[in-house]
Amino acid sequence: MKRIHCLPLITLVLVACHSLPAITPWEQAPAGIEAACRDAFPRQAWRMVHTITTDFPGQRKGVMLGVVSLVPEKESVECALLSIEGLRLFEAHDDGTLTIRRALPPFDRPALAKGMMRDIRLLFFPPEGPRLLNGHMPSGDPVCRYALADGYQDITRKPTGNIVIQRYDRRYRLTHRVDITRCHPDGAAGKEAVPCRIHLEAFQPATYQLDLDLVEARPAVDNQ
Amino acid sequence: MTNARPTAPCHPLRTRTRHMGLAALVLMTLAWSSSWDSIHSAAQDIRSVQATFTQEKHLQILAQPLQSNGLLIFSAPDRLRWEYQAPLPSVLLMDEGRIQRFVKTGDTWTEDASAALPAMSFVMQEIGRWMNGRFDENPDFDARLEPDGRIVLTPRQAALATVIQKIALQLAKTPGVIESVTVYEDDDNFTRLHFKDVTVNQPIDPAMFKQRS
Repeated sequence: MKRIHCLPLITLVLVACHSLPAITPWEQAPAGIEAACRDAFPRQAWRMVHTITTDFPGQRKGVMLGVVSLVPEKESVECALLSIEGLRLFEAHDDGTLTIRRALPPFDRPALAKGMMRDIRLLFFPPEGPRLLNGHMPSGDPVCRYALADGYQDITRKPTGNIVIQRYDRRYRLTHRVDITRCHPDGAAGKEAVPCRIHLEAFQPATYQLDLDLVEARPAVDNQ
Repeated sequence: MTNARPTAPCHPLRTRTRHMGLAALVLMTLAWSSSWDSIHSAAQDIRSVQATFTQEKHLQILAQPLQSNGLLIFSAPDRLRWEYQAPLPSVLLMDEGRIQRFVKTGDTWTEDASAALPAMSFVMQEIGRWMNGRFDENPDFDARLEPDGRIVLTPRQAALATVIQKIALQLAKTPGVIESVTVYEDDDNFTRLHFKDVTVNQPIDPAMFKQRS
């Protein structure tokens, strides 16, 4: 009987106990590993348009267009969310201070706007925190781990060239997992590769997933 | 050697008749957009419209407009197919009041359930009104007809004006046909659709307005 009473407690303890994935530090770190992790994100100013697809129950999908204008040097981003027909549903500017220029329902909920901007920074900007360690995963994939104000972030390079970002909260719970495929956009020869296919899964505090596919990317001049 | 064919000298009366005919045609085509009554009257003869379109989305945050193209098919009184062929294939269907959107992802068409659909339902119903020549019948907009066949719709309510500042429609010379539509969200952000290859009153298969399998 006592054993039965203990079961919920054991389950609770097991659920509550999370840990970050083990990283084996390099015995001899490959040259430029730190730069390689940061180079996973755009270093130049870009204006990009992606389709954004999300799944709904009943095999239905929601598709919109996402526009971002990034200036990594200034850590600033402008973004807009459009219907396929071009109706601007949401627009915001974030240079450290979030300014919402337009928000039609349901995008007028402050938490949603904040969450969108957090996702955009996760996808397009290096983590805002110091590097904790470099090493490799049990699979051998090189990984960099950063400490954030509200958790941790791992950036892993897959043998395919894909970048995998995993973000954890302070309790080591996986909150986001992102798989990024980069490519050189048409008409931008000689420029860096940009995220052309992104699969984002969010687990905490809300559960959702998004697929982004690049429609076009153009280098941006800051003062344009 | 030349291919130029000799031309017969024109008889002065024939030339005058031709000019008068041309003038009458110009007056007739311009006249349809001269008043609300003539616009309503011209629209009564419209049973169907098919056109291709190019769309430019001008955004303050984009240096160059986002371009897309597609096909618009209308069948009176209330069937509409608004199809984008590129860059993202999708189709909005309005069939006797029911509005659905389908998006092509990979090789399959799936029903779209995005949050944008309610707003697009409003737009689709408005387009249906325009195709019927009822530009001045939406109580949400003040409609102004300008001498050059331009119609400007301005929201009456401040709440709607925060979404759409105004809509400008340029009527074509062909009676019942719209040449372009520009939807201004504000001075820096607007969407412009140009219609071309317009055909009027051709038979249209009702299946064009039904759900794709």
